[in-house]
Amino acid sequence: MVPLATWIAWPNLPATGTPSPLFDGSSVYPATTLPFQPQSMGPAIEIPARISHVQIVDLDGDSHPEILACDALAHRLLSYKRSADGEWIEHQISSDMATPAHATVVDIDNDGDLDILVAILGNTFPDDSHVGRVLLLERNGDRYLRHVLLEGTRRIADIQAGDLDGDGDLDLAVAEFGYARGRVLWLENLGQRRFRDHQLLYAPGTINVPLADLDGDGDLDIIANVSQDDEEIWGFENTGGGRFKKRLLHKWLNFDIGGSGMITADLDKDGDTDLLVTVGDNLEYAYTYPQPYHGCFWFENTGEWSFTVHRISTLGGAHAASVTDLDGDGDNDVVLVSMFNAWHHDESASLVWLENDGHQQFTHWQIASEPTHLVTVATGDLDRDGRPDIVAGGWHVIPPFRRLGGVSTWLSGSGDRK
Amino acid sequence: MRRRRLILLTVLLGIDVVFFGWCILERTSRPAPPRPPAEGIVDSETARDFQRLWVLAENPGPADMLALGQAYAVYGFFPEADQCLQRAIALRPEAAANWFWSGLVLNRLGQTARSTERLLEAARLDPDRVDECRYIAARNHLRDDSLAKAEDEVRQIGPDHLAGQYLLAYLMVHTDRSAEAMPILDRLIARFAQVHRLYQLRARAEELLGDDEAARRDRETAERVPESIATDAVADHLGEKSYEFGLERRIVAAGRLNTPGNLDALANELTTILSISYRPRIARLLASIELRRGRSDAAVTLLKQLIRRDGATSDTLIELGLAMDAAEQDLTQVLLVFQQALQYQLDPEICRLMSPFVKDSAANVDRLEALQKHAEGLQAFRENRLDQAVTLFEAAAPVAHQRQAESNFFLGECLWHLDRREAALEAYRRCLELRPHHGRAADRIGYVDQIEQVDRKGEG
Repeated sequence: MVPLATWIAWPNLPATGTPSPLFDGSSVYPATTLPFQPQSMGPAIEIPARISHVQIVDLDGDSHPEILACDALAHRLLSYKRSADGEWIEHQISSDMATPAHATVVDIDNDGDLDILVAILGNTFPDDSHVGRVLLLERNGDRYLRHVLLEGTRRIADIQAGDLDGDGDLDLAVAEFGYARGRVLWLENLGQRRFRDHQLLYAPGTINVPLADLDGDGDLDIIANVSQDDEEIWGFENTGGGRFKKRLLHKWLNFDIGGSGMITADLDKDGDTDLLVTVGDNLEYAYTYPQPYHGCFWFENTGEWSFTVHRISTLGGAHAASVTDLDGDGDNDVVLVSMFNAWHHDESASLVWLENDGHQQFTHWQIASEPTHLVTVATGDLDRDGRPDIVAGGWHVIPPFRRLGGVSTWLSGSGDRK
Repeated sequence: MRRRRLILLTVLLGIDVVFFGWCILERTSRPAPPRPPAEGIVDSETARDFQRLWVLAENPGPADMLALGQAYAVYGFFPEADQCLQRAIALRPEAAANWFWSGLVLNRLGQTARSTERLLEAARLDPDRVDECRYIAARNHLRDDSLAKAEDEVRQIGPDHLAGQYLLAYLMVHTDRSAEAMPILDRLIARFAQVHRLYQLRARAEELLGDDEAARRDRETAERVPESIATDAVADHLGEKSYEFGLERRIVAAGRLNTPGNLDALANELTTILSISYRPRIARLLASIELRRGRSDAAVTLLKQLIRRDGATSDTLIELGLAMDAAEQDLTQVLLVFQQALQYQLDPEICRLMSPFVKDSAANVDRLEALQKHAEGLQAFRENRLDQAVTLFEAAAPVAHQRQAESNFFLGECLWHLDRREAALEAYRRCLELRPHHGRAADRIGYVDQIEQVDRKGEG
């Protein structure tokens, strides 16, 4: 009887044991004690947004900062301006722009107002055809006139402006990301909105081309973050007269590392320009997971084109960085966003700040776990209270599609500043 | 006697109860298969499939735990997939697939050492997987900054595995051993002449060896060969397997309905799928089905919604233009949609579609035809069909349109690569006349001058 009953019941016996704990690779940090007030800009998000770039800038010169955002889903450039009653009002600066990737605000024609250079990707998804453009939105009173400065190129990810050949006008550095093929260019300003393109590097996947006087010789050099077939940081030393010497500053042989962004900043306040590089891109996967090598590197400028590389963060899926003194203690802190944390877990960090102890030793503090999929971040005093605020943009092309956000701000409050 | 029997029976029954009770307790104390936090993350169809697989895996047959692990993995629940696959290995350690999938999932979790261990066991059990397992293992070593181990692994990969051979050459070029890499790259290029990354890597090696001219030639060739190398092996496996589970499986099944007599059933099924979870490619497919069913207004609505939700692309805009035309909407609006599509992609197909709408002036027709030739020329150039490209750019170049300078530049490029230097120079000069700040044309002319000077010195 007993064996028969056991035999009959055997396939239907429930499993009631305790499973072994699951692996957890998500990046979660202690909650910050700095007070922040989160807010979403614009209408409520119904459709997964694709904000490719945000920045804080006083576009109209009225001493009230605005947020400038590239909306790569609706193909438009937006600004958010605070009204007298404290409401943020959305303005469309330009539309029908074929996937704007990055906007650079600069007085390109030296007429006293701020124009906008827009890097046109042409296609969000991998594409090697000539769909990229360098667009100029020339400010003319309250309007912007659109000019194409360069076309017939592959996808353009970044444009920066500066006098690169020492002739007094503004030239451009351009990241032609492409896909399997791409280049780093500089565009020589010939006047009357004509620019002659010069190739500096033939390599696909350049994300950023910031300008800085890296060697302290008084002119602007170009730095390029290349992240496709190779994962490399290149410097182009300005040797005068529109000539550049190519220097490989760093390379990772781990080409899964996923270079995602680079900014310049004097992080240690020693008077030279350092680099901050985020790694954490995983776009080749339909579903992503943070990797142990993701995070942020500080490239400490030690002079003579040499850099000491310090890993300062392990934030999974890190995608962008901004430097500011967030806690008001006189040193530079770092704000990071994540695009690819373990979003199945509600507590995974999307926005963190790294508290600097004054000796570039950093402690992670979590500011937010939503919205998820943040790819761009900027800091600045949005509400003119003397404290830096944070703005970030969400890029939702990979599931899960919940805890969505477009342009979001975190205004710093006046409570305990740790 | 009866009493002794009774005692014996009681003892036997007691032993039975104790033994089988212990068996039942052991059985029920096994851990349940993991359940991911799927609610609100996966759609209802996929959640149902998870539940079906979970029930099977609770009392697993030989492949049930593997199937549940794979289903979790392809939908991004890697920690849960890891646990399932560990159990699959415990149940059937002789099955290579269990080790292989465990290796893939651990790779995604960033557990590189464990991933490599599993992959190498899979390779031991299944000789057909050896090269692929070693390739992913080598990538794992690189993710750990273990260059020597990566190279050791990749050296054991067979000569037919393109990604592996490329990686070997890549590691050499990037560790100051370009001279060693050159014979490998030469051999690969001889065999895979249409793969652009091989030329790009050889160009890097040549540059490091000081041969800038050879590097330049290889980079130019890389512009004109179309194929790439599949280096995302893990992503590819996960992607391919996704069609076996959840809503993706239903989508594949719906595809089988795509026959002329079945359009109504297919449209209904696609509508249901879209209501379960919005997938841009399903919306596009449904729009095309609606168009075939003569429901052009429905197609227009679907495509406009697709653009709002997934952004405009040239493909979607082309389809929208066609649907609007079929729905007999305002022709000016249709033309605007095609013009917008051209902004996103210079595609000869768009030019062809636009041509019936621009018959208002001969100049516009000529411009559009020239643009079409230019776009076709670019296609031919990228595929290294240089003679055809020359004909197309020659047809495009004389017509006054915005890309005239560019047509002349690419005409020059084609002629240059066909060794017709004088004609090429003429085309570059024409390009510069039209756009004096065309950097690449100016560089080319400067380069030719440089070569000619060298040639003259040589002759002197």
